[in-house]
Amino acid sequence: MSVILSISAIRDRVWAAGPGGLFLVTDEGLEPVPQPQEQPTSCLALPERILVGGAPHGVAYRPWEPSEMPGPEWAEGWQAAWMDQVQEPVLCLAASPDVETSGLVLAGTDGGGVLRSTDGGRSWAVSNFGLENLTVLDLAWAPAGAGAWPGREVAFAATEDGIYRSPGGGRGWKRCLAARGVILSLAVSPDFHETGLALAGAEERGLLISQDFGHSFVPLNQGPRQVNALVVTPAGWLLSDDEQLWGSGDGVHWEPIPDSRPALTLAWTEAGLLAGDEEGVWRV
Amino acid sequence: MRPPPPSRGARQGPANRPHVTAQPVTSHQLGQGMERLFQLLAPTFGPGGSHVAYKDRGKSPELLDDSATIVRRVISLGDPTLDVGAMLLRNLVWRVGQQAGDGGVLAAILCRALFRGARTLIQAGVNAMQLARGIRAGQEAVLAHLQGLARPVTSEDQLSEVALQVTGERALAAAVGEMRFLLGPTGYVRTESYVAPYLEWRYIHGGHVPAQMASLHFYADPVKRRTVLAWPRVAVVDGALEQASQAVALLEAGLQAGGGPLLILARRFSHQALGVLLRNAQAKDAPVQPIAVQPKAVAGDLARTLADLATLAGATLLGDGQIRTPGRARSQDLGRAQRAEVTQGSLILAPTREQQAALAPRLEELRRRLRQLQPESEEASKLGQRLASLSGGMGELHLGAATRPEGELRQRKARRALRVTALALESGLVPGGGAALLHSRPALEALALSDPDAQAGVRLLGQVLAEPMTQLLGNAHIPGGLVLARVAEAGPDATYDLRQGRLVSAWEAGVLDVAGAVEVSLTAGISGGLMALTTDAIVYHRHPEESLEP
Repeated sequence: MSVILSISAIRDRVWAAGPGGLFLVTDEGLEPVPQPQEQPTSCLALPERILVGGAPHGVAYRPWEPSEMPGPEWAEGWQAAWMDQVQEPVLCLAASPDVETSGLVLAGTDGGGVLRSTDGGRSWAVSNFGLENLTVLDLAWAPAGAGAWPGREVAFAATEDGIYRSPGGGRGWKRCLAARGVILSLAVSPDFHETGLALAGAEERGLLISQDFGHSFVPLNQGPRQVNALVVTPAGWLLSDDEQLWGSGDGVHWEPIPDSRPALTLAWTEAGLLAGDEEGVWRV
Repeated sequence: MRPPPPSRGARQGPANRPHVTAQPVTSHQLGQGMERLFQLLAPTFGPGGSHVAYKDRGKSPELLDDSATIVRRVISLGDPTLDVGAMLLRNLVWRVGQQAGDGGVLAAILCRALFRGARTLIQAGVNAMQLARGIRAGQEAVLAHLQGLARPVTSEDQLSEVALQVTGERALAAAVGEMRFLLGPTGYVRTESYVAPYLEWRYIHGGHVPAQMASLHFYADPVKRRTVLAWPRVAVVDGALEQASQAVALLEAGLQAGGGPLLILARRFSHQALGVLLRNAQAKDAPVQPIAVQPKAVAGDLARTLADLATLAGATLLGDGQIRTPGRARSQDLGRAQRAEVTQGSLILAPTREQQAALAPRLEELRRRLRQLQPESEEASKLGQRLASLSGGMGELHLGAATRPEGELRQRKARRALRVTALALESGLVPGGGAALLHSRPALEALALSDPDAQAGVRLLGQVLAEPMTQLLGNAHIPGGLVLARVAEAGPDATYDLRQGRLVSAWEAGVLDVAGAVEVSLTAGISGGLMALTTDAIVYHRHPEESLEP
C-alpha cells in the first residue's frame, strides 16, 4: 500500500499524496493519478486546479474541474510552478480561508522556508522574513473573517525549531514565545478570533497550546509525548501518536480513543474526517 | 501661513516699531498669541477632530491634520504682538512631533491650560517661583505614575489601534501595526508613492543594499533583470577588481571552497576581470558560476556598506588597504549566504543561520546607538538605514491615493504612525483618550508641600491633567463634566470611547495611548507653560526673522 502524508478534498472529491504518488480516494480505495513529481509529499485541491508539492518541481499544478474524473490523460497537462529559484522540496501546502477570492496559498519547504502564492499556486515568492529556521513541516491558517482589522490574516508555520506566526497572510513571520523544538503539526480553533486557541504537536514535547491568539505556546502536559498529526473539527479535536488516536472536546483535556488506528495525517473535509497512514486513507 | 502685506498705515503702526513690553502686557500678548495658534490646532485633536486646509500661493491646497505639519506651515500670524506667543507654542509642538511622532496638540493643550491657570493665580497674589516649584514636583509624581500605568505591547492589533489615531484609516493602520510589530522599534520602512488608490506592503528577508549588476549578461532572467543564487559563496572587495589574475584568484578560491555559485561584490570591475568572470558564468560546465555586482553606498558611505556586506556574509573584506588583496584570496576568505537576489538596482543577501547568530551582538549594539539618537536626526536616519541594510529589518510600504495632496497626506500619516508605533514598542501603552493623565491625579493628591503657593501649583496641575479629555470630548460635541467624573470614578483602566460613545475598559476596547508620547507631551507642555509664565519682557524688532524651522 501507499504511504499517505497529505489529504485534501474539495466538494466530494478527495485527494491524497505521499511518496507513492498522487491518488484519488474512492470507495474502492486509492486510484493512482499520473503526476510529475518524483517525490510527492503533499497535495492541495483548489476549485480550478490541483497542486502537488514535493521534488524536483517544488509545486506542480494541473487545471481541473471538481466534476472531472482523472484518467490516463492526466499524464499530461501538468506544469511546474515558478518557484523563485527555491530548489528545496515542498513539504506542505495550505490555502488561505478565502483562497477563492485572494488566490493566496502558502508552501513550506525543506530548508528553503516559506513560499507565498497569490495566484492559486501557479507562481511563488519567497516569504521568509522573520523565520530563523527554514525547514517548514506544517502550515495552518486561522479562520477568515471576524478580525477587526482589514487584511489581517493569521497563519502559522511549524518548523524544525519552533512555531512562527504571521499576522499578514504569510508576508512576514514572528517566532511564537516559548515554542521551541521540532513541531510536526498545527491546528487552529474555528473560534480562534474569540478564544485565541491554537494547538501544536511537537516531536518530543507533546502538545503545545496557545490561548493568546498564537503569540505564545506552552506545553499542555496532557496527551501523548509525540504528536504526528492534529486536526480540529466542528465536534472537537483529534490527534494521533505512534499507537492510537486521542480526542478532546475543548483542546485542553485529552483522552486516548480505545482500539483506534494511528495516523500520519488527519484532515477534516466536506467528506468527513479522514486519516492517512502507510496503508492508505480511511474515514475516522 | 504668510500674512498679506500690511498697508502703509499698518507698517507705521506701533506694533511694527521697535519697542519693549513689560508685565502685564507681556503675559497678555503671549497668551493671545498662544491662544490664536491653539485655536488652529485644537480642532484636530482626537478621533472627533477635523482637518485644517492650507493653501499657499500657486500651490494645490493641502489637507493637514497633524500638528507638526500645521505649525511648520505657520511662520507668522501677521501681527507681531501675537507672533511671539504663537511661535513659542509652534516650537513646542514641533519639538514634540519630532521626538514622539505624536502628541503635539496634547502638549499645546497642557501648555495653554497651565499658562492660563497660573496667570490667574499669580494675578491673585500667588508667588510665581513657588507655583512653578509645585508644578515641577507634581510633574515628577505624574511621570512616575504614568510609568506604573504603562503595559508592554503584546500584539499587532494594539499597534494598529495606536496607528489608527494617527492615520484615521483602518486599512493603513492595520498594515502599519503589523509592520512595526514584525520589524521591531528600530526596523526601517521605506515608503513608496503611487498616484492611484493603493496599499500593499512586504518585508525584505536579508540584508538589502542598492546595487547594480556589472554586466547585463550575468542576469539569469534578462527580461526581468533578476538573478537569484541559492547558497552562493560571497567575495567582497573594497576597491576595483582591475586584473584578470584577481578574478582568476577569486574563482580558484571558489573552487577550493567547493564550487557552485560565487557572488563577487566590488566597487568596480575592469573589462579584463569582467571578461574572465563572464566566460565562466556562460560556460555550462564551469565548476564555479560567478556573478559580478557593484553595491552602492547605504547612507552615503560605500566603504562601510562593503564592510557591512562582508560581515553579513562572514567574508574577509579584500582590498589594497585590507589584510588581503583579491589576488591573494583563499577559500576561507569567502563568505556564504543562504540566498542572494540581484535585481535592477538592488541586492538582497539572506545570511546563513550561523551568520545570523554571529551578527546578533553587533546589531544589538547598533540598535542601542540608534535609540540614543533623536528619531528625526540625519544621523539617526543614516544609522537606521545601515541597521536595516545589515539586519534585514526592512519593510516596504507602497501607498497611493487618487490625488497628489491626498497621497502626500497618506504618506505623512504613515510615516508618523510608524514613528509613534516604534515609541509604543519602546515605552508601552497607557489608557487612551486622555484617561492616563486623568487617572494620574491621585498621585498629586498624595503630594503635600509645605509652601501653600507650591501646593497651589500641584492643585493647578491636577486641573490641567483633565484638559486633554475635556478637549477630546468637546471636539466630539460631548459635554465633559459628567463623563470626566465617571471615568475618574471607574478606575485606572477606564476611558471614554468616542467611537462607541460610552465608558469602556481602555485595554479591552483598544483605546490606548503611547506612554512615551504622553510623557514627552506632559514634560514639554509644562516646560512651555512655565517658560511663558516666567517671561517678563518682549523685545520687538522692526523686521523680525521668519524661520521655516520652528
